[in-house]
Amino acid sequence: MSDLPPTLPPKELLILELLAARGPLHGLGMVEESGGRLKRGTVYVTLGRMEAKGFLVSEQEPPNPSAIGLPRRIYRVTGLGERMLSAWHNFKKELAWAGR
Amino acid sequence: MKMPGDWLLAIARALLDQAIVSDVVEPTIADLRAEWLRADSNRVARLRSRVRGYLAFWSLLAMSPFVFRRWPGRTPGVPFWQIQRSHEMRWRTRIQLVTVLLIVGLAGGYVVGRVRPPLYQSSAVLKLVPSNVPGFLTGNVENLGARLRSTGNIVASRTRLERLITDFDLYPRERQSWIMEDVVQKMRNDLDIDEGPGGTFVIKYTGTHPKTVLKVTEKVASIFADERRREQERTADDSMAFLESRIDETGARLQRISAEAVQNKGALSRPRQLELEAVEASYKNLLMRREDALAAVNAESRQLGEQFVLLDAAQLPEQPIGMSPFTYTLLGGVAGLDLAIVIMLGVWLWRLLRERRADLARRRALAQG
Repeated sequence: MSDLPPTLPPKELLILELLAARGPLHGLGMVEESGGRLKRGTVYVTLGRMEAKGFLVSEQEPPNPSAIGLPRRIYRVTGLGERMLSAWHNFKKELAWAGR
Repeated sequence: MKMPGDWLLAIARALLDQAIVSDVVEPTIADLRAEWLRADSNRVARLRSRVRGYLAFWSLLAMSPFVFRRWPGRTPGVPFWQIQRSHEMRWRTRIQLVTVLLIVGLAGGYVVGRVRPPLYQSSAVLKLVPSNVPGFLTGNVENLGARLRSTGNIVASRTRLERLITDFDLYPRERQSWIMEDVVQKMRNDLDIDEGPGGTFVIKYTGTHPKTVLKVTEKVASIFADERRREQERTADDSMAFLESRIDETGARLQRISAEAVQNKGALSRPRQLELEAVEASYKNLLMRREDALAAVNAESRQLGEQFVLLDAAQLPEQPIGMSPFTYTLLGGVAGLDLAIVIMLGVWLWRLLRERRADLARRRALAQG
C-alpha cells in the first residue's frame, strides 16, 4: 500500500490550480476565488490534508496591529504540488489524445 | 474590540485535538473575524459573516468524528494519502452496507406486503334498550359493562367459537396444524367487543375474506342478542325456583308451629311465639318476592325486559384494513437502514475500544521503559 502514489481529489486539484494561478492565498481567499466550489467549513480540512501530502506549505501571516486575535495562514504550492498539477494536466492531455 | 468566535474556540479546544485546532479551527475562526472586520459598520454584512463562520464551525464539529480521527498530527509516521485511502475504503464499505441492507429491507417489506393476505373488518352496533316494565319487576340492576362482560364471556366461550369456526369453515390452514384451543384463541383475538357511546356496543370481526367476515359478524351479533335474552330468562327462572323452594320450606315450618299452637290450645311459650311471628313475616316477604319474580318471568317471556337491539347491521367490507404493501416496503427499508446504522455503530465502537486499548498499551510501554 505504501507504494501507491497520493491521490488528487477534485477539490485538491482546484486548490492547486488556484494557488498556481493566483499565488499564495489564505483559506478565505481561496473560498472567495473558487466561486462557491470551496466551502468555509471544509477548506482547511482539505488544506491540512494537502499539506500532509506535501503539495502545500503554509506559514503564519505576520502579526497585524489591527489584531484579529488569531494568526492567519498563507498557503503556497510546493515543488511536489506543482509536479502533481503538471502530471495531472499531462495525464488529462494524454487521455484527451487517446479519446480521439 | 471584542471579536466574534471566542466561545467557539473554547469549545473546539475543549473537544478537539490541539493539532486539529491549530490546523483547521483557528484558521476558520480567523477567517470569520477577518470577514467580520472587513464588513466594518455594515450590520447586514457583519451578521452574514457571523452566520457563515458559525455554520462553518458547526459543520466542522459535526464531521469531526469522521474527518479528524486520523489527522496527520495525531498519527505520525503514516503517509497521509494512505490514511485518506483507508478512509475512502471505509466509507465505500459503509455505503455498500447501507445500500445492500436498504435494498434487502425494501425487497423484504415488499414481499411481506404482497404475501400477507389483506385483512377485512366488519362491525355491527347493538344498543341496550331499557326495560318496558319497572326495574324491580325484571330485577335488571347491572350496568352495561357488567352485562357486556357476562354475555361476552358466554359468546367468546370455546364451545360457541368452536361451533362458529366449524360452521363458517374459519382458519382452515391453522386448523390443519394447530390445536383447536389455539385456533379458538386466534378467533378471540380477531373478535372485538367494545362498549360504545350512549349505551351502545360494537362487535368487530377481522378476517381474510370479506363475505365470511360479514357473516361471522352478523352471527355473533345475533348470538349476542339471543344469549342475553336467554340468560335473563334463565336468571328469572332460577330466581323463581329458588323462591318456590324457600316458600315451601318456610310454609312447612309455619304449619308445624301453627299445629303446635293448636295442640296447646293457642298457648305457646314466649320464644316459640317470637319464632312464629318471625316465620310469618318471612313467609309474607317471600310471597311478595314471588309475585315480583312472576312478573319478571312474564316480562321476559313477552320480551318486555331490557334487551340488545341491532342498531347498525354488519356491512360487507369493501377495502382491506391495515398497512398497504407500499407501507410494508417503506417499513422494510427503514428497518434495513436501522440495521445498517446499528452495525456501523457497533463496528465504530469496537474499533474505538481497540484503539483505546492499543493506546493504553503504548503508554504503559513508554512509562516502563
